[in-house]
Amino acid sequence: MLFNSYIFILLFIPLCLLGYFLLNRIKLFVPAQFFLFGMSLWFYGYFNYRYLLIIIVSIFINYGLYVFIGKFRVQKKALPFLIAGIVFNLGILGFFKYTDFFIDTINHVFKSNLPLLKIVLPLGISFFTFQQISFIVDTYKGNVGKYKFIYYASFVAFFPQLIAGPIVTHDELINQFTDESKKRLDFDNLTKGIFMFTIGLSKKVLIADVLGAIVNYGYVASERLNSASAWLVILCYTLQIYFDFSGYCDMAVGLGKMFNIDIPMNFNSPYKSKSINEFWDRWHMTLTRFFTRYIYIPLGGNRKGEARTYLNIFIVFFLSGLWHGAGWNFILWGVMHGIFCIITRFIEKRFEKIPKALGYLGWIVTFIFVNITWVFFRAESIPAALDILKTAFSFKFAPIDPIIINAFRTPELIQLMAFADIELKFPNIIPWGFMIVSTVIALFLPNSKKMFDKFKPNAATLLFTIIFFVWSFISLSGVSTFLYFNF
Amino acid sequence: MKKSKIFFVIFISVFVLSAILLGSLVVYVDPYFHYHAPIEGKNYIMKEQRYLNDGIVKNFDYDTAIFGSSMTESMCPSVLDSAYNTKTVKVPFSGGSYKEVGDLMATACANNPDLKTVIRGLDCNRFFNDKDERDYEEDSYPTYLYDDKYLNDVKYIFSKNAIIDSMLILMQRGEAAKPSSFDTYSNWNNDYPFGKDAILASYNKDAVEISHTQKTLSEEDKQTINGNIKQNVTDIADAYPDTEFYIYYTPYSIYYLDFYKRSGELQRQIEAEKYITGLLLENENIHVYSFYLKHELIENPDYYRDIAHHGSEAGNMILEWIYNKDGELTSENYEEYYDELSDYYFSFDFDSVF
Repeated sequence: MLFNSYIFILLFIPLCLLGYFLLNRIKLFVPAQFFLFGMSLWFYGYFNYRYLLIIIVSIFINYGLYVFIGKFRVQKKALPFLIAGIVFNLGILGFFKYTDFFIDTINHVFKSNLPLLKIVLPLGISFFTFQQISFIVDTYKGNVGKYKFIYYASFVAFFPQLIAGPIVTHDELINQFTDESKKRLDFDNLTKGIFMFTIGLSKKVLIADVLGAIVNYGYVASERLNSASAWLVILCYTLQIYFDFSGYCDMAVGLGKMFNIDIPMNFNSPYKSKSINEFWDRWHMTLTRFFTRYIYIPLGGNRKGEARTYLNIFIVFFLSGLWHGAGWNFILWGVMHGIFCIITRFIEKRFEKIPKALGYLGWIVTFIFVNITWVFFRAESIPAALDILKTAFSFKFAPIDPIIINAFRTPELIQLMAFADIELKFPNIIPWGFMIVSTVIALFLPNSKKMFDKFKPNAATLLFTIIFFVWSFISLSGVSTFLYFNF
Repeated sequence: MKKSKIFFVIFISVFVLSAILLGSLVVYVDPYFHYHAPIEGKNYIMKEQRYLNDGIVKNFDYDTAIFGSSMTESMCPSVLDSAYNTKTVKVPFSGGSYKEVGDLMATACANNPDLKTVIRGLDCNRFFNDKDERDYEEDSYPTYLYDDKYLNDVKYIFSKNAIIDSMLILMQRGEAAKPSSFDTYSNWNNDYPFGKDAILASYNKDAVEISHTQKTLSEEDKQTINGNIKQNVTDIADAYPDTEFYIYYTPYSIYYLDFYKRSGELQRQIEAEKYITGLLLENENIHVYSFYLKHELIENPDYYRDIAHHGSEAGNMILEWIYNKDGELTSENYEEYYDELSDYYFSFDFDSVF
């Protein structure tokens, strides 16, 4: 089930809130937790019920390991179980996510012709395996308290963060589940959650999806682009992935809040960053946290000399690239970010204080770098990415493809402009306006976390929530553009 | 009451109220004809074929229907209505495959017992495609409009496209200000230049990979064709013996034939068309037409905007021919027709048209 779907909004979430708080109200705390777990499984199984088996088995085995490791008095003796746990989790991830990539690479290198297995990737597997690895590692280190199975299971499966993160740690969530003061419906939290959900939904539906149509077209019909269109498509993707992913996480935070559960923020205006290191402190923050805690620091972090630090950074980004997707383009994307981080760190180490003017230059360089590397992230392959970049850098400018212009023209914007024939007077006002507004939101306006923290239920926030919620709601489905290259 | 409680109550009330209002508006106006025919006296916005056609064939009052791809888009059904006193709808699918068009045709037959005449253009460039081919991504297709389930209609009644269209139709403003008809529905005749220059702007004969031998129709081709034609044409005609089916091969311009000739496909195309004609003629209620020997059409670039697409003038001419049984193939004459066709185009001086 997707957050941005009718079934989720009209049926799932009202039912889930009602059931959870009613059961808790009559002090059926454990049944309420089972209910939440069951609903989360429905949410997950709605995509494909076969996936349920994977997640349930994974939860059972990890919980079993937790119980087992906990029985050892001497930490070292538990090591085989820790290793078994990590191998198990990475094994599941490896099998479902990387088998075909592996076969494909072998076929390429050895010119062999092994058949691909065409495994369908279970949703959220990259997230819940990482979450459970962190749980097992923490168990081994003795940092985990006594958890009942149902609380552990509903931590892994908790639907707001199940599919696309944030990557929440066990201590963040389970302690909240067991806290009895959080089991009563709280209207302050409920409204705050609705407000945040609305922000996320609007980012996803009103901005990211519109940009997404342009990006899809641009990457499929890349041979039809000129430099102007190519740069526009590149920028559209930069904005799309931010609004889409951060919007999704905002919805997760909002949903959590409705249940009185705090879910950590995942984005903090990443495109405002003045260096690539800052970018990674602001982008997908819970992933950076995971990599720092469980890879970078165990490797020695920055405590083993400068060269070793750079190697560690490189390893983290290489793995990050691989985690983001099973393809060489993702690995290249990760490696490029890693190298740029190393260069930045190298320079920063040699200057005591960076002059302020360089800060703006830093922003420009970072933003351009991020834009260009997203091309490798989005394209089907490295050659496909290079094609787009070649077009962009050929500097052969021509008018933007009318199909792209038209994709910005959503029905409500067309009607809005029709009031005073504005489009007749300023023909490209919609695409320009759309790009400017979304760029300004990403670069200059306070982000959703700030709005969330400052939220107070009053007339202004109510009006904002109603308008954007209803607007997003009626934008969940609609006429999809069928693009035909030749009919 | 707590401020947040008031916030919540107002939020939910306004949301539920707007959903009811907007949903009722769409059900009442029904811009995609999913529940009923258009409201008497209102102009509708006839644009999105994939959203409208299913509703049109289910809920309109008609006895004749024109099916096909973009090749039928510029036809004017009023030509038939005024000359033959029919009530005709045109339901084209731009880029529609045999399967997509066939499914719509079957829906029409199943839902409209008054349907007497079906006219269908068969695209010659899709003879060898798979019987189940559909040219779109499943998840972007409005399948919720094609079934009778009420629950998934939320995607329709709460969609802003449908809501805005409903408002415009109700107020008769914007695109709903001007009357719509099946003549103008999907008709691009006035949007493009026609003629030799226009055709040659999108056709570069020198870019075609030349084949010095002509391919012929293989057993495999025949099997594909059998599946394609049976499932998407003849089975439907069999199921509705009281309806007459007029099937014609979409007449492309001489430049398309030049392309076939150069690429070594002409022989196979002609053999395939002949083979299909044989299959179609086994049904008593199917009438087959081919216009490739209508030189005044095929060889006159002024009727075309590219190598394939003819505009309204030719489209209407085709409708007239069909009604006058001009260009009809029968069990008696079709083999001779294809011999003549083959002789003509294999001795044709294609260079003369450039």
